[in-house]
Amino acid sequence: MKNAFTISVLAVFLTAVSCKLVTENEGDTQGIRGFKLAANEVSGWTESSYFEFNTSNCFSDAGLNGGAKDFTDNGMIEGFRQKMVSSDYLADIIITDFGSNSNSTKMFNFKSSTSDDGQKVGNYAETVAFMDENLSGVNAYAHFGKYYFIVQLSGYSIKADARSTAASFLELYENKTASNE
Amino acid sequence: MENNDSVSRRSFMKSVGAGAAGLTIAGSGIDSVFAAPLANTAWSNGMKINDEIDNRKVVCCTDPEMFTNAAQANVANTFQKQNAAVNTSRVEDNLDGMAMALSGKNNVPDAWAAIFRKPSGKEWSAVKAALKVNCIEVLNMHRVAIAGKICKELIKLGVTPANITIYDACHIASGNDKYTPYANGNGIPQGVVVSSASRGSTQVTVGSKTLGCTSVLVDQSGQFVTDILVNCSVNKGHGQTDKGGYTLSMKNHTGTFFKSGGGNCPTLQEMIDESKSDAIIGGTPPRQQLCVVDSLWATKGGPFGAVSHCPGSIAMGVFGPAVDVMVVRNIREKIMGATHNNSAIQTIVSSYGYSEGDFQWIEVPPYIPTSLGRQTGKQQTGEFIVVTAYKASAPVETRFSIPQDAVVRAEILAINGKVIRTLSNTAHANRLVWDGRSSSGKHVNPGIYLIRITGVGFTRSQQVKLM
Repeated sequence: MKNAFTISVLAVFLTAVSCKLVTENEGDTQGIRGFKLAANEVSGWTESSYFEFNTSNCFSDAGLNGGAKDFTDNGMIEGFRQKMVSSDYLADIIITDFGSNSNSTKMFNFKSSTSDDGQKVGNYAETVAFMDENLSGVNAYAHFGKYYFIVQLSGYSIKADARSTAASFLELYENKTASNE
Repeated sequence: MENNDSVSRRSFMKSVGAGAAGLTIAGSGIDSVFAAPLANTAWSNGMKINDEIDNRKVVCCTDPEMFTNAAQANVANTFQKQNAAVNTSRVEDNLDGMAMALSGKNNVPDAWAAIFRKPSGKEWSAVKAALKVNCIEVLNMHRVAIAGKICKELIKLGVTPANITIYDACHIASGNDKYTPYANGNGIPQGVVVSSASRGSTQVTVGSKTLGCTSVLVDQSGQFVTDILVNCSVNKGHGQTDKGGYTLSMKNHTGTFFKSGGGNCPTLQEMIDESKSDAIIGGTPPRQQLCVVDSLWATKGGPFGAVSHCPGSIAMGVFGPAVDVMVVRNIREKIMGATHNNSAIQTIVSSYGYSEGDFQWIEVPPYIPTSLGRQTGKQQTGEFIVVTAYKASAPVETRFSIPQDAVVRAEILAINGKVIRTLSNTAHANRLVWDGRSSSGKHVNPGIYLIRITGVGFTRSQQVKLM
C-alpha cells in the first residue's frame, strides 16, 4: 500500500516535471526571450545584433561595461541586448529580467534618480517610464512587471520622430509583458 | 580578456617604489618634500612625469572645424559615422598646436620630442609603445584620427610601427558586434599592431593587491616591456559615483588590469592604486607619458549608450588625474551640465599630494600651420535667438552668436543648475521658443533662469529673468 502510494506520488511528480520541461522546451517565446523583436515587428526595423547575457557575462560581453554593476546590484538575473536598424536610425535595446516587480522598480528608480533632464514618454506616468535625450535621439527607460527596458534611439535629425518611436517601442513591450510573465 | 591567457598563475612582479628621499624647493602650490613612496607604488608626491612639462598643466582645443560637417556630426551615432565626420587633418594640426602649448616648444617636432621620451641608451627603433583605448562600447570610442596622429608622431621619432600596439582595441565577445575602428591603412599607419588584449593573467602588484595585467605591458616572466604608454580615453559618465561619476584616463585602466569578481570594476582606492602602479608610471622615464581625452563627442551618462553631446574638444596632459579633473570641471560640468561626486574627486587629487586649485586649464586656439607660424582659425558666425514667451504679451528675446548654420540644443536651467527643460531645433532654423514651462508641462515660477545652448564644438549661456 505504502509502495503504491509512493509510486503514485512519484508518477504525479514526474508528470508535473515533464510538463514543465515540455513547456520550457516550447519556450523560445517565453520569459525574457519573448521580447526579442522579429524583423518589421516594429515597422521598418530589422535586427543588426543580438546577445543574451547573465550576471557573469554582462560586463564585457554585453558591452554594458562598468554599468553592469548597477544592474547586478539591483537584482538582475538575465537579459539581452538587441540592436536594430531602420534606414540611418539605430535602436539599442537592453531588456533585463529582475525577477520581481520590486526589483525592476528599484532599478528604474535608481536610473530615474540619476537623470536630471527626464521627460515624459508617450502617455506613461513618470513612475513607469521616462526618457531623456541623447545627441541624435532619445533614451527611453521603463519597467513593466519584473522587466526593465532601455530603448536608445539615435541617428535622428528631428528629435520628435525619435520620441514618438520610443513610445511605440515601449507600448509594444508593455503589451508583451502580460504574455511573458 | 586576452585570447591566450593561461589559467595557471604566473610569478609575481613586485613593484619597487620609485622616488628618492630629498628636499626640493618647488614653485607655489606643490609639495616641496619627496615623500617616501608607499610599498608597491611607483608614485611619490612631488614626482614629475616629465622633467620639462608640469604635471598640473592640461591643454584643450575646441574647434568645430574638426568635423567635416556639423549636421553630419550631430547625427553621428556609431563609431563608423563619427570617424567619417572627423576632419582628420584639422585634428592633427590642433594636436600639434596642443603639443606645442603643453611642452612650451615653438615648433612641432621639438614639442612631440619633449612629450615622448625613451629610456636612456635605448635606440628609438627598439622602443616599445602602447596606446590604451577602450573598445567595449561601440557608440563612443576614441576616434581614429587622434590615435592615428599619436602613432604617426611616435614613428617620426623613430619608433618601429610593429613596436606600437593599440590595445583593448577590438571587441571580440561572441554574439556581439565584432569590430575594431582601428585598421592599418585606414587612419592607422601600416604595421602598427591593433590588439584585442586587455586585462591579463600575469600578476603585478597594484597597491595592496596583485592583479592580472595585460601582456602588452608585462611579459610572462613579469618584466615590463612597454617604454611609452599613451592613455587614449573618451569622455563618458559613469553610474558608479564612488569613483567620481565619470570614466576618463584613470578609469581607462580597468581594461589594463584584471580583478576577479565585482564585475571587474575597481573601487576608488583600487583605481587610484592602478594609476600609481609600476605598470603604469614605473620605468625611467615613467611609462605613461601622455593622457588624451577625446571629447569630440561625449556621453553625459554612461558608461554605455549613445553620445549625448558634441563638445568638439580634445584635452591632454602628462598627468592623468589632472587631465581627468580638468575635463570634468571644464567640459563635463560647464558644457555638458553633468554633476559628479566631489568627495571622490578630492580624494583622488589629494592622494597625489595636490589640491584641485593646483591644476591649470589652458585653452589652445585652433592651429593652422603656415610659414608664418601659428594662426587662429576663423569661422563664419550667425545669430541664434531663444524667445521666452512666459507672458505671451511680453516675449523676451535672448540672442547668441554661434557658428553659422549650427544645429543647437537649448536647455533651460534653474538657478541651482538643474535642467528643467530641453528644446532642440532642426538644421537651418535660427530660433527656438520656450513657453516658460518645465518638461512636466507646468509653468515655472518667476525668477532667474539660465538658457544654455550647445552645438557641435561650442556652448553659450545667458540668464533670463521671468517676471
